[in-house]
Amino acid sequence: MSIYMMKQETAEAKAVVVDDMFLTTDMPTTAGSKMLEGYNSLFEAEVLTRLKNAGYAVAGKTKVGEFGVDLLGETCYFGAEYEGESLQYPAALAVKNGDGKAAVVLDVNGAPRRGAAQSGLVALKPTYGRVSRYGTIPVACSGETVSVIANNGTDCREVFCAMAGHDSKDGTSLPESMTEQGKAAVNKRNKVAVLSSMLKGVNEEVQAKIAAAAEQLSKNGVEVVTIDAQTVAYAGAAWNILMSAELCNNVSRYDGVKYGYRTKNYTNIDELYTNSRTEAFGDFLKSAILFGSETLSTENYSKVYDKAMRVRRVIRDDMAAMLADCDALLMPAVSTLSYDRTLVERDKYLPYKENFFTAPASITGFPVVVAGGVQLVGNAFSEELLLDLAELV
Amino acid sequence: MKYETVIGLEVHVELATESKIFCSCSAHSFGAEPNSHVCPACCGMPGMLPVVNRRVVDFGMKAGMMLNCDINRVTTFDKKSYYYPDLPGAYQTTQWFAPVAVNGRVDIETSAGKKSVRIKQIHMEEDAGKLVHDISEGTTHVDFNRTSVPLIEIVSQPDLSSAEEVEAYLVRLRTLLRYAKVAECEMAHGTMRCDVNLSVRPAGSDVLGVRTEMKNMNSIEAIKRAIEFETARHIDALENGTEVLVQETRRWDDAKGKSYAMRNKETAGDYRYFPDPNVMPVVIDDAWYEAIQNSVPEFPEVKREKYIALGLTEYDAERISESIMLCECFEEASEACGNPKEVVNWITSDVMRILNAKKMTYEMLNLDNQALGKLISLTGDGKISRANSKKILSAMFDDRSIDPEAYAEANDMLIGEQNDDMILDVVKKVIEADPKSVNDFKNGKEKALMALFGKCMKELKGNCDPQQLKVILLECING
Amino acid sequence: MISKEVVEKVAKLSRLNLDEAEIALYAEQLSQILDTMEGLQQIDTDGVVPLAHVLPIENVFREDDVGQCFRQEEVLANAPEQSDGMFQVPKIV
Repeated sequence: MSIYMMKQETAEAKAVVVDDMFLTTDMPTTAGSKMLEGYNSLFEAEVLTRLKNAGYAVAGKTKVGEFGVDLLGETCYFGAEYEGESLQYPAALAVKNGDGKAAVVLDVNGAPRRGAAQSGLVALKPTYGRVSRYGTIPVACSGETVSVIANNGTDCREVFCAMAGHDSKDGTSLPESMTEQGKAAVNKRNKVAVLSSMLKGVNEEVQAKIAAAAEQLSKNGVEVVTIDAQTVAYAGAAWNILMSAELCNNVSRYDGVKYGYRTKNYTNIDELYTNSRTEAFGDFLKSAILFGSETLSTENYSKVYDKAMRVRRVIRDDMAAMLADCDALLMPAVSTLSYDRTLVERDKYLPYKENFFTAPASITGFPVVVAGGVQLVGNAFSEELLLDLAELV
Repeated sequence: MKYETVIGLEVHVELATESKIFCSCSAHSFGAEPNSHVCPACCGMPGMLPVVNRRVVDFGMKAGMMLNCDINRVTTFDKKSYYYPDLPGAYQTTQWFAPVAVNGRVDIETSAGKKSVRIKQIHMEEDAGKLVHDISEGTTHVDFNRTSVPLIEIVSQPDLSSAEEVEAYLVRLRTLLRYAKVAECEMAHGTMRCDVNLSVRPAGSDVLGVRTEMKNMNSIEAIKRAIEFETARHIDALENGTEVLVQETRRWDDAKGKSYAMRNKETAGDYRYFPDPNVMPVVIDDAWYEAIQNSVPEFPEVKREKYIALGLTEYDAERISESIMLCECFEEASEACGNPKEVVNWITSDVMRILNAKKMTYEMLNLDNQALGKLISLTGDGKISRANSKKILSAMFDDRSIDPEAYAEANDMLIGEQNDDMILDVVKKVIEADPKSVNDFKNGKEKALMALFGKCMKELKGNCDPQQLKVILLECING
Repeated sequence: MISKEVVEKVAKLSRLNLDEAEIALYAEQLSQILDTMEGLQQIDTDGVVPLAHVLPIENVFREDDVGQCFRQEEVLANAPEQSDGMFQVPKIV
């Protein structure tokens, strides 16, 4: 089974791979869904234009789980990737294969960070708004961020710099002046906090990774403290609500009318809609759609959706307060270093549980670096500082 | 039993911007090829992101101020989900939680007297596409040219009680929004559309009856007919039990003069609103607010009173203040020539005659008003004959850049001061050539003078003040 | 616990067809997810303003300038069915 939707030879010395959430004009874009099989975009993602202008060639498009919301790509209509019984993240494998200097991926629900953590690679999810989302398949727009996976922090930094910057085509793109101000306001404290509330449910291997990272940081003169931050542990639950609702709305456009899959089995417009979507969407996506739709219903909006947005502010403010005093919050990216096939196939609910670890950075838009199998979540605009810390773990 | 009708209106108005609300496609596709004013953003393809057209907010605020609304200083956009083929994303970006304007008031006057209609809110949103039905093939075709054209929806409270009041309200809305130059408001073009929420109850009751919503009326006359029909249907149901009224959406068929319950529209009706994560909040600071406030024009009544004070008749003042374009024409031309009464004569005669001949509405008036003032001055001063000034005005309608004086000069229409001698020469020549007419006139035939006058004018190619010519002609004849 | 009726209602709203087994499965799954939601009630959010956008930016606009549209054949290039330059669907009554 290939990890690619499409791979192409490139003569360029500098190459990257991108995942199938980025619109391309020379290759189809499917978001891992039967719904978009063979879909040809009329325009290209802004980051690809920027990377090409910086001299990078695109060596291929790696597979993603359907609309990028699963664990590591197991819900991809075009096939999941296992090594033995262990689920693999295609973009991480591409980097390990040396197919490109980095993989440029859309972090919707933490899959790139889980992939990097389990493969021993470095991943950077920048501050929300620093990299344009123009031309990415929209799923959970309030948090999803264009991210980079590479063998090391240096390569991550290089590719990130080539694609970051204001884009007037993205209304959530940060103005340069704000980025400059934000970067200037980052103060190195030489201190990292382990969030004890985020260690819930991790296995021994992962605990060891956390301990090792803390030790390495200490050895290099970084003060390591432990904080019990209760609210952060609710990020996953809140993010599941926001993400599913946004997803439900964003994938409602796939209705068999304008493009994409259309059922053969219809006599009226409602059957066209319903049968196209029922036949083309996978089970996990359907559950996310149903859940998202329910959270936005008139009965649930204030109790569920509005509540999640309030919790989002509480978590953001709490984390910002912690980060005023230290450089990064150290927490796991995964509960285990390998997802076994039987577990993945049995527990359909796993992506909703496992994002317990990745949701704090998703829901706040704070930058995060994965290195040494752990996450370092920093304050807005602290990408450089996080990549420096990553060198130490 | 006596009944009363309770009516609230939802009026959609297309804003007169150049481009669409969230993308840069042209907002003007009337008569264009289908799907030719479309980009991936406005036809529901993934990946393009909405960026708000600033002028839409300007116009939304201005409309709010025209209707005496409070402006929400923080106003946001939200997503509304439902499936219908004219809605390419299966969601509409609209304003649900914090619309741009709230708590307004529109004053109307009918035979029943004066009334204030309360405005609940005005929100900004994107329009949907158009469906074209092919009856013979049993298919429907979708054109997205109109999707994402900016709209405001003006929601009234149920304060209206008759077709006449609804007409007065709609005419008033149209006048005010045209005054603000934010919208065309032409029902025939679909740039103003109106849904009627109607219920009937025993007179004096404070309990509302079953409410129906009617759509698909394409003119104010159709709206009035629909209201009359629907009111009668409701009363008939209440009085005679002809049917059981249910809360529903109905489609007005103007040709048949009947309303029908609509089927196949989203019935579940849970639109699942939530804030659009891709559109940042709009925050209106004092400077912006004041800039828009300063651009709000005087209301029609204020203008009318002002014009009466300038010496216009009530009738003329009313006619001019009917349209902001006429007001501007009147005010600017008056300022240029200093003679408002003369300007109003020109507008109500020549200008309106040409508009009429060209089948143009007042709103399409595109004269250089200052140049019109100048033309009126030149004519009044006897520099251009009345006949030639009409020709020049006609040319000015076709070419806004025409300067009347330069145009008159270039076309031999200018009557110079030194022309007295030239006129005298011409008059002498004409008299000499036609002694019979001179004699006829001297013998009391008034018509003969007109003949001589006409001959002189023809020789002079009209470049002559008629009064002046008449004086010289009489002097010559009478020796 | 989420009832089958709720799942059916939501599925209809989302234009998805579910068989009996799926309805039961999703009812259970949705219940599980909603249970974790209950935890959120433990966070006191009285007086907290909902956070819809994480960025502290506002007033992002474009000027009212007309740009390039796409050509009709490009817009229709991915259409499953088209006719006379338009997307085609079954008759809407």
